[in-house]
Amino acid sequence: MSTATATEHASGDGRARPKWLLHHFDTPAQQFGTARLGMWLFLAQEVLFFGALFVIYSVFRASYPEMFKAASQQLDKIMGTTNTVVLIFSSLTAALAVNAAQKGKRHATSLYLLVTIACACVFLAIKFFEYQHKFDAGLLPGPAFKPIDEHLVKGLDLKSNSGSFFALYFMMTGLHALHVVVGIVVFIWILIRNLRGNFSKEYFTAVDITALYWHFVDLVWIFLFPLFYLI
Amino acid sequence: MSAIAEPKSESSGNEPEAVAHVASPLIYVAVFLGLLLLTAGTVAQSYVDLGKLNLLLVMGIATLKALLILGFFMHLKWDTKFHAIVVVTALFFLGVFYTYTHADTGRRGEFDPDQGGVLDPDHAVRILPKTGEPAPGGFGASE
Repeated sequence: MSTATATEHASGDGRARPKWLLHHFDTPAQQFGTARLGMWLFLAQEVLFFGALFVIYSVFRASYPEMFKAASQQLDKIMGTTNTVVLIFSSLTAALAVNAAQKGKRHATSLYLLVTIACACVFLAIKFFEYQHKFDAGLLPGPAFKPIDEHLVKGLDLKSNSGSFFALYFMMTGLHALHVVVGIVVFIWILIRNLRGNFSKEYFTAVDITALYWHFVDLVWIFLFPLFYLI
Repeated sequence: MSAIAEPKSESSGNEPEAVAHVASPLIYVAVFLGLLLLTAGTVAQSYVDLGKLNLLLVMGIATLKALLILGFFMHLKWDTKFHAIVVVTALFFLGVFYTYTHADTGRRGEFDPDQGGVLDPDHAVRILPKTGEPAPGGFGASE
């Protein structure tokens, strides 16, 4: 192994090994399968990570169903729906980016990655305006909850203990938004690697598992959206 | 070769074998349209009050969307079954967490002055709404 050339080096059985195949893997399939399993185990951990917040949500909602219903009316259903569509579309382009990478279409992969990143940014921008409205209206977590009438949706009976609803709202959508930011950073890195020509029909592992992560971020939003906006 | 390797039908034999299933882009577009349709459905439903069915329907639609994403976008349909087991295991333990938590918090009773419960935090008594008996456990259930 010490005499490995820049592009290929010989394996134990004398077959040529591609440069991207790490020496502790026998075959590309083994390396790819290991990377995917690693990402799936990480996502399993993420299920429990977000799961804790979903369980807290369910306990509070079971205790104060009327308060949740009233507080939910203050969220912008149109913005929430738009964000859902944006995120689903970005999931589609992420899947297509993997598909293009699998076929060795480098330019198509770059394009799909770029659209995915753009959609993620649009999602965050919409989220920013939603948060801004909540701050203006005093719809803040816990003791900071001091609603200002002129900014509220009228004619609704907002309960005085709605601070716990908005605590959950900011905690869960905030943690999700943090995942979106991480996704953007990783996708930019993947895009740079793709532009450098690091990926091929035989090796596209990083594109694949980053897309897996991104689909998970989409999955979490699919549950957050109806639980907060559509009560 | 590893069990996840699928022989590529169009390969001539000289090419390295494919390491993953390559799906048609049309499948992804179809899944996307399905997800849009389900989103429209769940938003439309939110304007109609179906009482207790609301939550059931909303979670049903969200689960359906999740299955579409897991199955097609995340390739579980074509993937090694072990990844599906990882997902199911995570969800199982989330279920355990949920069930035990609600078995506790759902049975702690209420501070109901009409039934003999006391709201004063120092002498609070939680009462089971159905029987009027003091609730077992919880904070300040008994002195």
